[in-house]
This record gives sequence, structure tokens and C-alpha cells, in this order.
Amino acid sequence: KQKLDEQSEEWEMSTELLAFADSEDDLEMSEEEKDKKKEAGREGDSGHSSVEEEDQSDDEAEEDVAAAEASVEGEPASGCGSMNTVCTFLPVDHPQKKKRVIANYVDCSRFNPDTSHNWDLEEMLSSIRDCFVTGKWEEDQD
Amino acid sequence: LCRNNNNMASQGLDYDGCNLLRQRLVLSTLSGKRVKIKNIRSKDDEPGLRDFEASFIRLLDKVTNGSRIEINQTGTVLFYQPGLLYGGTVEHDCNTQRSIGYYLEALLMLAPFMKNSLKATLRGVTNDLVDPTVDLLKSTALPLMKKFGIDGEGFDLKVVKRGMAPGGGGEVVFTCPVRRTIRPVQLTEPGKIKRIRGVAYSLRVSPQMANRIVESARAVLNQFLPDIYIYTDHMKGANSGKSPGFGLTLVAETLNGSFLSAEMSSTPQGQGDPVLPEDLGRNCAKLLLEEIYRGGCVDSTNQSLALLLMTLGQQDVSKVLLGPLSPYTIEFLRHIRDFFQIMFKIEVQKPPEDERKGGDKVLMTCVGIGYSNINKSLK
Repeated sequence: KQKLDEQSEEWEMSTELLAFADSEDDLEMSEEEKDKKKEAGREGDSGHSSVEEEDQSDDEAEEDVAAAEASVEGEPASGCGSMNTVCTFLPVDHPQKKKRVIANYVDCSRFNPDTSHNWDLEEMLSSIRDCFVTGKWEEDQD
Repeated sequence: LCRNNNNMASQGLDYDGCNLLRQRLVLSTLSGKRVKIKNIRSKDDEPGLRDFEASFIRLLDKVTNGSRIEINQTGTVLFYQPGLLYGGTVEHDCNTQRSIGYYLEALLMLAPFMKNSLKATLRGVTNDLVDPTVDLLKSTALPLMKKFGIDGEGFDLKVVKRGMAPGGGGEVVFTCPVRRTIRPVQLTEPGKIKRIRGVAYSLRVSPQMANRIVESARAVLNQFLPDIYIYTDHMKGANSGKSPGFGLTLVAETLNGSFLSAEMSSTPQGQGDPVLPEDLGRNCAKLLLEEIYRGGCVDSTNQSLALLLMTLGQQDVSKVLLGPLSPYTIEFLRHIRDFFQIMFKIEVQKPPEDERKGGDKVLMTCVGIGYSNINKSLK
């Protein structure tokens, strides 16, 4: 029971990496899973208990999480920089304050910016004055 | 699961969850790689694909030829084997859970690479709170695409009827010519903002609403610039859709032809607190100031479109200066790496201290993959 609780926490933390099939639909299985299924004969049918099912998906999920983590850590640090590390050193806005994107989050390109800037303050208004033609011009452009 | 994502030999990619569905399906269509998306809201009380996602998939099916789409019984697993981008004349009733912008964003990415020039008539919600409105895409995405060589007389987005959420009833016509190749770009200097334009629209409410919006937005923006013109658009009768509402789209244009935008709509009837037009105008103007602070040559909404066209450009260097990357754009970069094995060089540019030009910028550089539109018919 405790293990299941731990597992459910892990699921919530890593929804993006989750491998869990709700039913035994053909479409829901990867090629490997299909092969496994064939080897296991008819075991996959209603014969086995739900506890066994949970255990099996436990193991699979653990393997998958481990594999995914390994692939993130082991990624070569190329000249361009790994995309997975982008979040840590680039000026990136995270309004939702969560590093891991929620797999079932709303699919939307509209960006709702951080509301920490108060555009009623003269200081903020002054910070963008030179973006306009009415602001200060560089010598070479004047 | 992500285990296949970095495997270049693999012709298919597996993902989890409904988020970023459009990115995955669009890039799958362009790259020809099949995708399988599992665990779509599998833990939800109502699992599986929503109606608007099914509507999007149907639209994708209409503009392609020979696509194979399989969805399991509960709708939690989607398999998509892309066909050829066919184009031509397409009509689609977009599900009103999302606005036309949701569907149009994907068409903007696909249309230049079709066999025949696209003429898409989309019906539904033209303006809502969630997605970029058709007005915003018309005034920012189209000029951006022109910089990549996608232009000509047949390149247009026309708002025929407006329709606010939740009822919809709007209609737009998007026409786009096809291109064999995409031109690389060097957009590194946004230039100074010379003017601000906008549209304040009001539907099935007093036309005075739009005037009140304009007045309050101007009060904020006139502190910076005198050249501000905000059109008021009050559509009547059959052209005003099924639901009342109002809103504002603002666009700042620079000397170098970059466009930065912001927008706001009233809350849909019967959902949430009503908004005063004065507050909406003022807040939208402040949103534009925030967008100007973020800066760059492309605004936040169109970052991913710019990065896609850079990726698909001829085999030459493309550079684009952006404001801070939005979370959606970061995911898009990951997907570009998955589907096209392209990584961008990302350099942070800090503005000099004596200049008042907003926050840090990001210079994105890549060499295009030399994508050739094999669908385009020879004439």
C-alpha cells in the first residue's frame, strides 16, 4: 500500500515520463510491449490479479523514469548547449513556476508574462524609453 | 515514452500527454515522421481527447492526403502517420472550445509547404481570452512570414465575420501561396518603434465600448509616442457572431519592420467577472509595454513560427533576436530537435547599462536544413 502511495507521488511528479496503459487496446502498446505480450501467451487476459498489474506497471514506470533521467544527465554538452539546461541559465519566464512541464497542461502559445513589473512606476516606463523613436538614438544611427 | 526521441534512425516518436499536441502533429506532418501520443488525460475524470483536439485533427486530415489517424476507444492514445500536404480549398467549422487562432497557428506553419496553395475558410470563435486572436495573427504572423519569402498577392487573412467566445459565429479566410524553399533571415536589429496601431472591437454591445477602450489605451501609450492610431471595429447583424463582447489588439511597428503585439478580450458572457472597457484598454496597453520590455525582432506569440521557418530555411545561417523564450517556445525547440535534429545556438545579449531598452534578449542562430517542398506541383 505504501509502495503504491509512493508510486502515485512519483506519477504526479513525472507525468511527462509516465508509461501506463489504461486498457489492453492494441494501439496503447508499443512494439516491444506487443512482443512481450506474445511471449507471455494468454497471461495478459483477465486471469491475473490487479496487484500483479500494478507491480508490472510499477517496474515499467521505474525503468522508464530511470532511463529518461539517464538520458537527460548523459546528454552531450555541445557548443549549442543542451536544450534541457536552457531553463537554468537563460532569461526564461516561468509564470507557472514549475520546471517540469505538465504533460496535460493547456496547449497554448499565448504568453502571459510575469506580473512583477509595475507599469505605473516611472522607473519601469523609463526602462524602455529608448525602444521608441522618441528616445535617445545611438550616434551611428542619428 | 521519450525513449525513442533521440534515436535518429527511428522514424517515429512517442510522447505523453495532450499538451503541445499541435506542435507534435505539425512537425510530424512536415518531417514525415509518425507520432504516437499516449496517456492523454488518462488520469482525468473525463479521459481522452477533447472535442477541440478532435476538430484540429480533422482539419489536419482535410489539408493532407493519405494521413493515417488512429485513436483508441477511450481517446487516451493517438497514432498519427502523416500523409502528403495537399492544400487546396478547405472549409472547417472549428470547435468553439478554442478560438480560430488555435487552428490557424498550425495552418500558418503548414500552408507554405503544400502541393496547392491553400484557401482555408475557418468558422468559429475569432476572439477569446486563451489563444492569439485572428487580428493578432493577421498583423504579426503574416509580416513575419513575408520576411522569410512567403508573400505575394495570394497571401492574406481576411476577417469576414467576428464571433466572440463562447458562441462563436465568426469566419475568416486564410489564403497562402506555396514555396519550394524558405529564405534564410538575419533579424538581429529590431530598430526603434515608430508607430502603434490597433483594433478595438465591440460585438453585440454598445459601439461606445470600443471608444472607451481606445481612450484609456491611448492615455498610457501617448507617454511614449504621438503616432498612435487604434481603429474601432463595430460589426453589426450577421457579421457580429453569436455572443457579446469586446477587446483590443495592439501592435507596435519598428523602423526595421518588426512587430510586437499584445491583446486582451472581455471575459465570455456568463464566465467570470465582467471587465470594464477602461480597465481592459489600460491593461492591454501595459501588456504591450511588457512585450516591448521583452523586445526582440519577433514577439512572444510568434517565436515558435520564426524558429520553425529558420529551421526549414535553405542551408545557410539564420539569426533572429528574440525576447526571453516563452515556455511554449522551449518545448518547441525540444520538438525541433526531436523531429529535425537541429539545435540552435543560443546567446544571451544584455543591453548596455546606459541604454533604456528593456530586459535581456536572446540571439538564436541555426543553419537551415534546406527543406524542399516536394509536394509543390511543377508548373
